[in-house]
Amino acid sequence: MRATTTAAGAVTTMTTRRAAGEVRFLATKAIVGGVSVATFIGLWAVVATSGGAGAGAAPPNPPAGAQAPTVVERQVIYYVSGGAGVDAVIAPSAAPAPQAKPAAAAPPKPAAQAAKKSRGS
Amino acid sequence: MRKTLFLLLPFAVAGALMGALWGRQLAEAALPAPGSHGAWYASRSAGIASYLFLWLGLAGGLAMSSAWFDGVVGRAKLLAIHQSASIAGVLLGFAHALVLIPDGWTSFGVLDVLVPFGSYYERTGTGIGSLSLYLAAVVTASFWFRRRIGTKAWKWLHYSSFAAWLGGLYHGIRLGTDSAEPWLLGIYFLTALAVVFALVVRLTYVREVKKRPAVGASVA
Repeated sequence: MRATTTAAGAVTTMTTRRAAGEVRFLATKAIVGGVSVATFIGLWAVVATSGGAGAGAAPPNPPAGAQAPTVVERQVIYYVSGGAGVDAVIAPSAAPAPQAKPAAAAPPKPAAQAAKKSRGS
Repeated sequence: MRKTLFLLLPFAVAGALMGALWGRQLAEAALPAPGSHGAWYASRSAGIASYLFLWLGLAGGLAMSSAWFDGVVGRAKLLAIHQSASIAGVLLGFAHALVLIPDGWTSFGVLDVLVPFGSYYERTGTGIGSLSLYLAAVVTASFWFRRRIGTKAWKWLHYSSFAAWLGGLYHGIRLGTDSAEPWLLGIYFLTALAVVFALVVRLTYVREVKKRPAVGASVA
C-alpha cells in the first residue's frame, strides 16, 4: 500500500513538473515572439528617423506621381574674358579690345618626363 | 499540453483586445510620424528583423545540437528559442515582402514579391531573397513533420537552413537600403561571425551519443 502511494506521488510530481516545463517552454516562445515584435517596431523607428537623410532612402523605381519635387540648385557661372570685365561679356562689341594677350601658360609636364629630365641633368 | 493552452488562451484574448483598443495610440506615441512612407519603412524594418530572427533560429539550432552550451542554457529553452525565432523570422520575412504590394511609394506587385526572379527590380537579388524565405519556411514547417518525413530527410532539410540564411544575408547586403549604415553593417558582421563560431563549436564539441545496451545483453 505504501509502495503504491509513493508511486502515485511520484507520478503526480512528474506530471506537475512536466506541466511546469511546458509552461516555461511556451513562456519562452511567447517572450521570443514579443521580442520579435518589439524589434520590428524599434527598427521601424530607427529606419524612419535615420532613413530620411540617406541617399539610399529612396525606394527603387517609385511611380512617377509619387516622386518628390526636384530641388534645383542655383549655380553662379563665371566668365573669364581676359580682363575685359563684365561689360565685355554682356556686350562684346561695346567693350574695348584687350591690348595685349597674356602669355599662355605652359602645360605642366608629365611626372615621368620631369623625372627623366632631372635624372639626366 | 491542452491544459497549458487553455491557461494561455485568456492572456492571448486579453492581449488581442488590448492591442485592438490601445495598439494604435501606443504605436502613434512610440513611432515617428510615418507620413506617406509608412509601408516602405515597415518593409525595411521587417526585412532586418526577419534576418535577425532567422539568424537567431539558426544559431539556437547550432547551440542546441552542440555540447558547448550544456549546463549553461537548458536544451528545452534553446529548442523554444530555436523554434519561435525561426517562426518569427519567416513571418517577418513574409511581412517584409507583402507590405510592399499595397504601398503606393514603390511599384511592387504580387508577382514581383512572391515569384522568385519575377521582380522588375534587381531580379537576381530579389529572387535569391524570396527563394531563401521559401526555404526557411519549409525548414521551419518541418518541425511538425519530422516523424512523417523521417529523421534523415529532416536533418538534410535542416542543413539547408544555412543556404537560406546566406541567401538572406546576400539579399540584405546587395539590396538593403540601410546596408551602408554602420549599425547594420555591424549587425551583418557580428551575426556572420557568430554563425561561423557556432558552426566550429558544433563540429568540435559533439555531444556523446548514449548507447543503449542491446536487448538481452548481460550487465557486467
